Parts: sequence; C-alpha cells; structure tokens
Amino acid sequence: MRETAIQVRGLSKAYKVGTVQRENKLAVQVLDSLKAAIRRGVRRETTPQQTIWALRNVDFDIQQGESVGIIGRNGAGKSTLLKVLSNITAPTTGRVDVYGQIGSLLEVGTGFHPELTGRENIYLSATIQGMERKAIARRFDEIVDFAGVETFIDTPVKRYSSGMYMRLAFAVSAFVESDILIVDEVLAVGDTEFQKKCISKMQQSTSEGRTLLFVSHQLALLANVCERCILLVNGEKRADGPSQSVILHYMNDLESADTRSGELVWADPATAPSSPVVRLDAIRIHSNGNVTSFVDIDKEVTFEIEYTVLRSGTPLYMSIQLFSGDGTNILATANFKSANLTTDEWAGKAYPEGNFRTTCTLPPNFLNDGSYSISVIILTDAEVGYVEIAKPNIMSFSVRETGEMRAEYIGSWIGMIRPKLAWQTQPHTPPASLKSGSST
Amino acid sequence: MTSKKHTVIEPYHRLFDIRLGEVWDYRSLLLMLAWREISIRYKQTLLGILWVVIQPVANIIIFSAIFGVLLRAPSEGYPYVVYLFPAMIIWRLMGDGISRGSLSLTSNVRLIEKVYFPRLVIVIANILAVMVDFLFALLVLLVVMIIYGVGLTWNLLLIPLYTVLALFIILTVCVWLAPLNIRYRDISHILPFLLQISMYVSPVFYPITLIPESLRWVYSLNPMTTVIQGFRWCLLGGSSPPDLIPAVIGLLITGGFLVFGLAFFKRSEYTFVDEI
Repeated sequence: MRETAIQVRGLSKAYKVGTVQRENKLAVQVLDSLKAAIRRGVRRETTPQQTIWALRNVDFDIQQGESVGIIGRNGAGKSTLLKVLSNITAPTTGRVDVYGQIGSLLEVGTGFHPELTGRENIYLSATIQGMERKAIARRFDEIVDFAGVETFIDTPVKRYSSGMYMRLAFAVSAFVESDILIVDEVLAVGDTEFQKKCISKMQQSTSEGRTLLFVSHQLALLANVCERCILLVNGEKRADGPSQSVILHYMNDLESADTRSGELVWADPATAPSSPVVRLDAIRIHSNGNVTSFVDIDKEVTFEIEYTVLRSGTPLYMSIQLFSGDGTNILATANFKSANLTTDEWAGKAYPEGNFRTTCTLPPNFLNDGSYSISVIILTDAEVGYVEIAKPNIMSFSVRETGEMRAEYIGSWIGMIRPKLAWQTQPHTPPASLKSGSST
Repeated sequence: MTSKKHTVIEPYHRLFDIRLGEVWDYRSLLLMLAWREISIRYKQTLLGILWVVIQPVANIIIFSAIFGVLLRAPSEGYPYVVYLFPAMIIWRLMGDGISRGSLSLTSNVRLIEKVYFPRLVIVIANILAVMVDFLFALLVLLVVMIIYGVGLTWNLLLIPLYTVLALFIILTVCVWLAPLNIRYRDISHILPFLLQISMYVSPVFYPITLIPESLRWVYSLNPMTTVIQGFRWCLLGGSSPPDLIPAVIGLLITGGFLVFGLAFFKRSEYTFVDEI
C-alpha cells in the first residue's frame, strides 16, 4: 500500500469580484465606499458583491509516486488548484495535507534575472525552489549538462537564445529534489527534442517514487506521462480515473461545448487575463466575413487579439500557437519582423497606453478538416521569450469541408494540414547508358 | 506516517499568527535574495560598486554647502561636514530601507505569484541589501573623521546597537506598508514625500538644541530622532546623546507596532496573490 502524498478535502476557493478592485487606488476605493454608504443611507440597499467560485468542494487523494494529470477548459480552476496546492494562495474553505517537500514549476525560470549569469541564476532559482546550497553544488554539473549550456555558463542569461534560456530554466527545476513536483503547462515551449528529454526526466522521477501533478492541454502528452487524470469543470471535480477514460470524457465535453461562438470577450477587466503591462480584452476568429468558430477549408482564417496596454513604453510581441484536437502542437507564429509575411509596424515597438488590436491570418486551404484550438501569448522580449500573458488553448474552432479538393478523391485526407502544393509531371529523356542497356 | 515534512494548507483562521521561525527556516533564500538585490543593482554600470560611495558623499557635500556654509547651521562645535555625515548615513539607511522594503512585494510580483516562501523573506532581503551601502558609507565616514582629526571614542562600540534599532524601525514601517502597497499603490506615491518630511523633523541637519525646550520631549519620542542622535553620539562622542525616557517610550510604542504589524503582514500574506 502506497502512502498518501496529497490529501484534499472540501477545497473551495472564491474570488470576490467586488474586492478585486478595478483600480488599486485608495482614492477610488474611498469614493466608492462613500457612494455606497450614501446609497445605503438613502435607499437602504446593500451593494451586491459578486463571488466567483474558482474551486468548489474538491476532494481527492494522491498516493506517493503517482503521476496525475489535471485537465479542464480555461477557467475550470486548474491554475487555482495548483496555486492552492503550492501554498501560493489560501483556500476559502477546506483543507489540504501535503506530505513531503513540494516543488512547483508554475513558470519556467522562476526567479531568473536577465542580468545575472547562468551560474548565478542556477543558484538563485534552485534556492528559490527550495534546494539547499550543498545540494545545488552537488547537482550543478548535471544541471549544466542537461541544459547543454557549458560554454555560456558565465554569460548573463539576457544574452542567451530563447532556447538556451528555456533549457537552463527547466533543467534547474528538473533537478530540484522535491518529493512532489507540480508542473503547469511549461513544456509548450522549447523544441521537440528537449521536450522529449524533459518528459523522460519526469517519467524517471516518478519511477523513483516522486509524485507528479501535471497540468497540460496536450492530451496526448498527458495520456503518455500520467496514469491517472482528474477533470475539472467549473471548479468542480467531474471525473477522476485512468487517463484514457477521463480524457475521452473531456473530449466529448469539448465537442458539445457552448463556448464555440468564435468570440471570447472579457467584459470585466478585473477577471481578464492581465499583467502589470497589458490586459487581454477579447479574442475573435473571423472567416468569410463572420465571427465564427466554423471555418470553411477554402477560406482565410483571421485571429484577432484585442488588448489594452496598461504601462507605456514596453515593447510587445503577439504570438499564437495552433493545436490539433488531440493537443498536438501544429505551429507557432508571432509578429516578429523576421517571421512576418507582411509588416507590422507595432511589433516590438514601445507601446503607449491604450487599446490595440492585432490580427494574424492563415491562408485558405491550409488546415485539414477537423477541430483545432489556439493559444495566445503576449511577449515582452522576443529574445528571451519573456511571457507577459499566456492563455493556452483559449479558443477552439472547426475547419469544415466545402468540396474543395474533392473533385477526384473523396476519402479522408491524412494529416493535420491540407495545403495545395505545386505538382508537375514532364516527359524526360533517360541517360544514354540506360537506353543502350535496355536495347540489348 | 513517515518522517516526511507535513504541510497543512488551510484558510486563514487564527487571529494572531506570526510564525517568525518559518523565516529562519528560509534563511538561505533570504541571503540569496539579498545578494541578488545587491548584485543586480550595479551590473552594467561603468563605476560599479563605487556608486555606493559616490552617492552619499555627493549628497553630503551638497547639503554641507547649503546648510553648513550658506545657512550656517549650528553643529555643536564640530566641522559641519563631520556633524552631518553620521546623521546622514543612518538616515539614508532608514529612508532607503523603508522605501525598498515597502515596495519589495510589488516589485517581486512574478516571484510571489509562482512560488511559496514566507513573504517576509523578500522584505527582509531588500532591507539587508541596503545594509551594504550603509557599511561602505560608514567606512568613508571613518576616513573623513580621521582627516578632520576627530578623535575616536569608546562610544563606537555602541554602533551595532543603534544600527539594530534602525533596522527595527525600518522593519516596523515595512510590515505595515508593504502589504498595504499591494492593495493601494498610493503608498508608493506618498512614500517619498513622507520620507522627506521625516528627514526634516529628525535632527539630521541641525542639533536638537535648536528645538524649543518645551517641545524637545515630544520631539524625542520619534524613534528616528533617537537613532540619529544616538548614532551621531557613538561616532563623535561629544554631541548630545538621546534623551533616555522619551527614547525608551518611543521605542516601546514602535515595538508594539512591530508585533501587530507582523500579525497584519501574516494575515495579508494569505491572499496577497489575489489582490495583485
């Protein structure tokens, strides 16, 4: 019988929309409360305070050495759950008992500072993640080796390529000797080869008795790494069991989802995804002149990101990642100058405060028919890939057949993309040697 | 169960909860964060660590010229520069400590949102980082005193006492202002203004003897007055020492604020992240 690593009982977390102020300014609050007092005095009415339950009465146990995936749509409470388990924010009700040292990897490069060297950052980040100085010294060479940054170890990380930065940052976390590792969608970055390396590292650590809690939208990856999954829907535990069956349950849910209007608008700035620099306001999918989540295969698809810059002077880049229905990453794109088919004069420019809209267009006849989702990422520094806001799998859409490319073949086209490519056939004259051989 | 560390995560329910021991458990992180603050401050600067000395010295030259030469402020028989210097560096320690400590939570939002540790660690680390500037300035001060031929006395041995008292004042202010600044960013606007006022209502530029006799007792309740006067007295030996009774009363009141402040800080810590 394995021992318990995490025991969660009746866990709930509420966010009061009234107290998370639209403006964190004293004057505004004083004014608001004065207004409220006057209103109450005159009409005797109480100000309604909206409460959002990010988690509702969640129970589960995780045994030592288990690897458990947490799945659910955006806003289902996955991140809140991880934050509570990592002790970053307190629950509203309920109790969690954690046995063992927790290491949480909610971000790649926790505590990294661009001005410090690779060596300094290893010590800093590992200490922040709870590692003893002696232990760091002991594992130091392994970390450097895993990340493959030997020659640059005494260079400030701001001079690293984004790949090197990510590798080093992940390597530190991978070697933190915690009993329980909590990982939040961090493998979406980095190249495939390094991703594989990380996954095998995680699998190795679970076989050594480490407990793993893993949030990801890459369902194929989850099924591979985790033996068990927990599905969260609107803050409640909907399913809990072997990965395959829970993932299936989730995908059926996704199909019938009601969020597929092709538009996602955060009307209330308090709940919108934001950082001190920028706030997301809306995401839309346009095709054939409509805002829609059903796209014809032979039409252009335009993704639109609306956002508000809250602090002027920060250079921003927009990036979109495209995923197939089973969570495979199809592509990543960004409005970097060198990666743009047209020109976007705002890319990487120091924005003033205000509202902006960035669009990205996929050509017609590009994606195969099927369902897809996008992640939206706002970066402040293209070089190190400094992420301001990342909303994984924020929106899904379907590509529909229209009869295009169907004049001859009517079976299923294999693959995730279905472009029209240039094909040509010409008669040619074979070389003389062949000719003479065939004539005898 | 095994000997594994057991953590309970619960809603906030205790009325009075400080848990300072936890900060001690995280001392290696504390030192690491302090080191980070110090080492990034002067990276990619031409003069590097020299700035630690240049800044206070430049300040003291300017203020000496204005208050000592132009306004001829009294200085209890010492050359004005020598009289101003100790007060200036201990005031700077308090001023910089308070402003860095109070803003430390908001300037480390990324860290706070992503990993757990007692948040007081970040505040203390920022305060400790300021100590380095102070120690360098203290060295310069000793050199200046030797140049001006001011004799060193046994009072010097009390420097650590007044330095600790200064840190105690800084921490008291920070445990209140740092959590408040998360909720109300106004703090960061008010703070420089408050610090400036505190400099003029403390005996930095002038001796306490300039204050009318009837007000001197009340004036001495200010713990900053106690620390500035005491620190100057440690170094110069002949300037007026703090007035014991109001000094002790002032410090006891500060201690009360610190205890309640620590509880307030712990309480706020539970939901910092939701309010950022």
